[in-house]
Amino acid sequence: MSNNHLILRVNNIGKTYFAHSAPPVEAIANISFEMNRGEFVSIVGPSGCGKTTILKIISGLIMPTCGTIDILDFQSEVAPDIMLVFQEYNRSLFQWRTVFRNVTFGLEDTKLSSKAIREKAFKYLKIVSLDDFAFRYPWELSGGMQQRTAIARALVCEPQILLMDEPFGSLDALSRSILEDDLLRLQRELNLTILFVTHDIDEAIYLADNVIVLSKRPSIIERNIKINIHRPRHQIETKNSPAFGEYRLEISKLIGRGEYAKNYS
Amino acid sequence: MQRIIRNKKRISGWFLVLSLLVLWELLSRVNLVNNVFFPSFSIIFKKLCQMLAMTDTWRNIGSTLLRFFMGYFLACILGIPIGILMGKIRRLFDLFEPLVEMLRPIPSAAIIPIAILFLGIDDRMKIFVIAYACLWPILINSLDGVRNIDPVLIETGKTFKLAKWRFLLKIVVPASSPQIVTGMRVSLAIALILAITVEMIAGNNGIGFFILDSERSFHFPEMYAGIILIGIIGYFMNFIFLTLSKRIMRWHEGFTATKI
Repeated sequence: MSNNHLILRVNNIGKTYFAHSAPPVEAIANISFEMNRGEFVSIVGPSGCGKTTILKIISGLIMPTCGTIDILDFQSEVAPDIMLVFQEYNRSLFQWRTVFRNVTFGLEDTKLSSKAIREKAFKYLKIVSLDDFAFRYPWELSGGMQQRTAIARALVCEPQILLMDEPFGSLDALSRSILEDDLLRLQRELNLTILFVTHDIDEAIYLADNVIVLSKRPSIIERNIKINIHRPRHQIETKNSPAFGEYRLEISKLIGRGEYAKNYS
Repeated sequence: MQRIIRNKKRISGWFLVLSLLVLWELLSRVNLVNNVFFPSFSIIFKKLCQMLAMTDTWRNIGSTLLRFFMGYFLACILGIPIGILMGKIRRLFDLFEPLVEMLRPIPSAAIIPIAILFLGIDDRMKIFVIAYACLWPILINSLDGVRNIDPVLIETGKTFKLAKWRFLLKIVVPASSPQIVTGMRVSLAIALILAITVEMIAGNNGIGFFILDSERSFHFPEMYAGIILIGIIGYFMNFIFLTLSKRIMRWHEGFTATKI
């Protein structure tokens, strides 16, 4: 499957939340961007700027107030094309199902035979190195393993686009860096298209081909920055390279509107 | 290790029960309490053994249990779906909530006269009263269980783009099952209470009837034996329910234990 192939187009979406007893809140003013197959895009922005809202709109969980989402190149007929991985893995996993049965969830209503489902589930459990824990319950696993279960559950549907909402936000620093590298490996091996929301600037740069920097609410795209750092990336080398430092400073300036930058430049 | 300690604790509890029985026996034997109204435990126990050898007793147990299960089962198959749908569908909730809140506080025994008026004094009335009493805890807990499902779980489920009823069966029902089971457990005790009550008010068989009938005909050992019998039945019912629900809800025990 060739890359540089347009897969997602977000056209001028805006979102205003209307509440009964409070004035309406305009979360997103106007956002447009595109993604190619196999691309890794991060979205960063100040907290409350509507990062999650964008993912929810793309995944179809909520409707935008205006604008459209085009998902080009539909392929899979058996499973959802877009999967969303949440930050709160312990609230998002099906606690009444074992790891294996969490992973098979998205395949159960398809035409696949139970043997095919089993094979597919184990393929992805192996990819996230959880095949030895297939018949444990989520609560018997560590946080990192739980989030890997959630990732396997999403990947097994072979989505065209994988959306991730601060997926490593509730993990400890070590699990987090391990999972970042796991994710990069998966992305390369499976040619995944990933849209990744985070509030962590380093994480955004480290993982992505493109970093979309959002403004404060109501958000617009402050800048869409191409990250020209070669792959594979390395936790220590990449993060200490001069290029990385420049991107970090540039994005910090954009987000902090100068305040952060004043102290560090 | 922990199990051994627990068992030791349990042994001390059983020891208390045993001591009370011995005390009872002594008080009654030395006639400190009136041993006509309050016969010694050995007499009652002997009576109970004799009763258990009679088919009549088993027939009484059978008819009580039959009504018990019919009423309880009816309450479950009505209460769980209605509760789940009320929890899921806002309009249904708005429609039924005032009615539920009006009917629920009425003590179930108070509707027995109405039930007799409309359904007579046979099994239909008794099953109806049991079902009515059991309905509320099951319905309210199912409703609450659904309304308290974590929104993250709901959103996760939605990303799988399931058909509505699949969503209901595969996410809503299991996610609210711990609270549904809680409601069912509350109603289990209520069902037994009501089964005995209706038999005492309007019955010609069943253990409730047997207890009252023994009292009225001055067969006090039989009366006590009947009460003990119903206690044993209640104990085992609860035991079976707990064993089953623990097995089915193993995931929930573990989940809540890790989530402090």
